[in-house]
Amino acid sequence: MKCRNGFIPVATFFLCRFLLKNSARNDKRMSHSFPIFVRLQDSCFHFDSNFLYSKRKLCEKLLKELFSENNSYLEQNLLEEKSFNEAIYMKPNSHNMKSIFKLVPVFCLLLFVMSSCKSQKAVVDANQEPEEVIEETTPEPTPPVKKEEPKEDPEAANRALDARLSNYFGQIANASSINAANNNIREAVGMFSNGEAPVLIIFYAANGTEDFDEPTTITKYLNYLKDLKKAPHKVKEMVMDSQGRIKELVLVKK
Amino acid sequence: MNNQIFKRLSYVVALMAFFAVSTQAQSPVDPNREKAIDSLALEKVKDLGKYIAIIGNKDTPFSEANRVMDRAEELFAPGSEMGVSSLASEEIKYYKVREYFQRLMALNYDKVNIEWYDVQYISDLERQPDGRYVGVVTIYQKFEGTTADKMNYKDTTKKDITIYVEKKKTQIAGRTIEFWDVILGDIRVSETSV
Repeated sequence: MKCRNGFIPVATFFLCRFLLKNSARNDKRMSHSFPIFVRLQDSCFHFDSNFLYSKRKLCEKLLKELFSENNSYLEQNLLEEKSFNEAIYMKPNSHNMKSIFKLVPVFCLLLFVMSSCKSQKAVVDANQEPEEVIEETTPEPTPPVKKEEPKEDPEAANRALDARLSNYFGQIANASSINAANNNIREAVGMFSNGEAPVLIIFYAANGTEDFDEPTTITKYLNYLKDLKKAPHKVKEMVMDSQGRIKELVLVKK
Repeated sequence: MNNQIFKRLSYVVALMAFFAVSTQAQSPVDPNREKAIDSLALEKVKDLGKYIAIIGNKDTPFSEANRVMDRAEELFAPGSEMGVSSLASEEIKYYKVREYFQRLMALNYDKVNIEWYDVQYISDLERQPDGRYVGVVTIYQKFEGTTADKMNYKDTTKKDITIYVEKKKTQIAGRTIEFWDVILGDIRVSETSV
């Protein structure tokens, strides 16, 4: 579970505000002072525990405004002189104290949540640290290396096979004697499923279409290199059989 | 009435345009492609020159010469003939290609050197009504034969080779592969000189 630090103050703010509103509105004992209290919350609520005292001047201003607007409210004797003063200074009236005490569990809960998030993070960090230590202490993390190797194997093997075959092409074409060329042919044919493995030669490719020369076999092709003493093609594609030998070869002009 | 005739005419023109475009699309309009096919055919002719040199070479083992003869014969259309000339005679003899190769291999010289050069088109490949491309390539063949007693014979012959190129299909590993088949026809002697 991840704890987002930025979210907590915001959530705390809205939660407290909601609870304060509801508690003020629902509590009948605060009925004479709830308009003032609500107005105060709306105007100057923040996390300072002494906010009510520190914003005294603002409270006075707001109360004056409120009473000037709500004359009818005053006329109904819902607010007495005593409660008016208490409301202004928010001295420890029993009603107000009760409403403030209601906030205590909420703050406690929030503090607990925040601390638990931090503690969880600390636990997570504590869990991660030993792993890092283990990685540092073990010089060769063998399992990941072993996993990476098989991924590179087919490509590397193909490249190696391509290079080996191209090397044979060159050796056959430049052989000093017929016997030397034939030996190379024999070795090269060993890389194929059999001597009759088809060889396709692309002599022109454009716009997604490929033009092929007459298909031949690998034995004939290698002998062709020997006879002409040149290797004019390069490997384009190799189709492998289940035993890892080439069963079809596609060449293209160099 | 005039509108109806105009409509019908427009349909006919549209149909003709469609067929013109479709037939155009079937032919290899791409000049680079045609060039590649020309080169492919020319390469086959040059290959034949190499094969002939190997077959005629006295140092070539018999088995190798026979193998090369097979490869060379595969280049020709069945029944194709090769013209042979000599400075000693004005007569030009024609042999089936296989027979020509065998006679070449059996020439009564201790050393034979054959070289083809100046291989080029004298008539470009042109599409025929049957879909094949036909062209003519000319080559110069320099022949030199030496006997054990150092008797030497040499000549240069200009020969014309008819070439056919056509698209064929074959099955490879269950797939149909279209390829360009280059087939050599008769080889005619046009000039013989020292």
